Amino acid sequence: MPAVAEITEVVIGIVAGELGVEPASLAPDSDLRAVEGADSIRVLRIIATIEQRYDIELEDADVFGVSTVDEVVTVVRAALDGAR
Amino acid sequence: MITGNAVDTAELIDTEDLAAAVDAFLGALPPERRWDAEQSLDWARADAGRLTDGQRSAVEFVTVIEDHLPGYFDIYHRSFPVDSSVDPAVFAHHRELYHFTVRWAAEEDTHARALARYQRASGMRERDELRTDLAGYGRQPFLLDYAHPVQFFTYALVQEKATQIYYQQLRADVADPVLSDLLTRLSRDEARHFTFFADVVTRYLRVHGDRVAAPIRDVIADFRMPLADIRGYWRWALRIADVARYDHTDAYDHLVSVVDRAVDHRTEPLDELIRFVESCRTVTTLTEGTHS
Repeated sequence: MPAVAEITEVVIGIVAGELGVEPASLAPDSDLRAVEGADSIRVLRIIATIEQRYDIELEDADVFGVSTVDEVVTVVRAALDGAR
Repeated sequence: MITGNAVDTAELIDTEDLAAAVDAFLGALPPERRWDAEQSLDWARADAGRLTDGQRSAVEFVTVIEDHLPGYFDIYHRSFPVDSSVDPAVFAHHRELYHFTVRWAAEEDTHARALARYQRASGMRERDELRTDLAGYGRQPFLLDYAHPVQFFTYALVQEKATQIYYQQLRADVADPVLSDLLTRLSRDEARHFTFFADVVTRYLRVHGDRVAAPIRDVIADFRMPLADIRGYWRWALRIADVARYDHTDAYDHLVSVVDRAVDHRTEPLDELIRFVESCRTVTTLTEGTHS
């Protein structure tokens, strides 16, 4: 399974790409919905891109429950762990 | 699944006031402009081969939404009962509303029937397969746990306008003239339905003023599209949004306009309501590949 740091880097890269911000402006505790340019649909697109990247399908409760990059990383790791 | 209760009848507008809105709705569509799923469209020319994969998925999506009519209709039946559980004066109000509800339901059922027929006639799906698929979605409960009557009409106002906007935008891109014709009819019907709900919400605002600001606000605060509770719904909705913009908050401007036109003078509660509704709009343009 990829390490936390590696997933965090991927998630930040996807968030930055989707929202058009510099990766350096994002941190593990960044709230996705608070990032400039974010709205509910864009956040869902971010989640969908992350799902495709790792070939996983997150539970709806997780999709709508996560707020920060860290939380996304946690549910991605859990999904990857469940897929093993 | 039985959920929800009858509305707080003390908050209803007068029966005569409601009846005026129902009369206007029923009078807005002369018999010669009505249509049905059997005779009005040239099904022999329907061709899903002219659609993109995304457009076909969009047709499937809106078929599911329209086909959930029994759930929507049941909400009205339980919330505005026309039986001995209500006193005669309330019954009279609900009976007037029922004149609207059955016509509205007949039109929505025509939508579901026409979209399903399009899928069959255009080669998208076989009838048995489609019926089985729709039954899976149709059995899902549809919940609107509102107490104030204005909340039902506010929810429907947003839902009808959002659907109308989506049909218009989908129609702009499809190459099958039969689907284009169908989407035009659907869009026009949803526009009339929106007008009714806007009329009723306006009447509530004029009668109750500030007192309906909070109930309307609660509808927007908790707004969820029909079937949004279905697992993975958001993935499908995202794909649909890639075909034609599908965002219920597009309808919020129209709700703001209704509030604006209904009152001569804005009060603080209504100002706060409008600020809140505007804050709920999706504030940025959508990402690449999305039409706006």
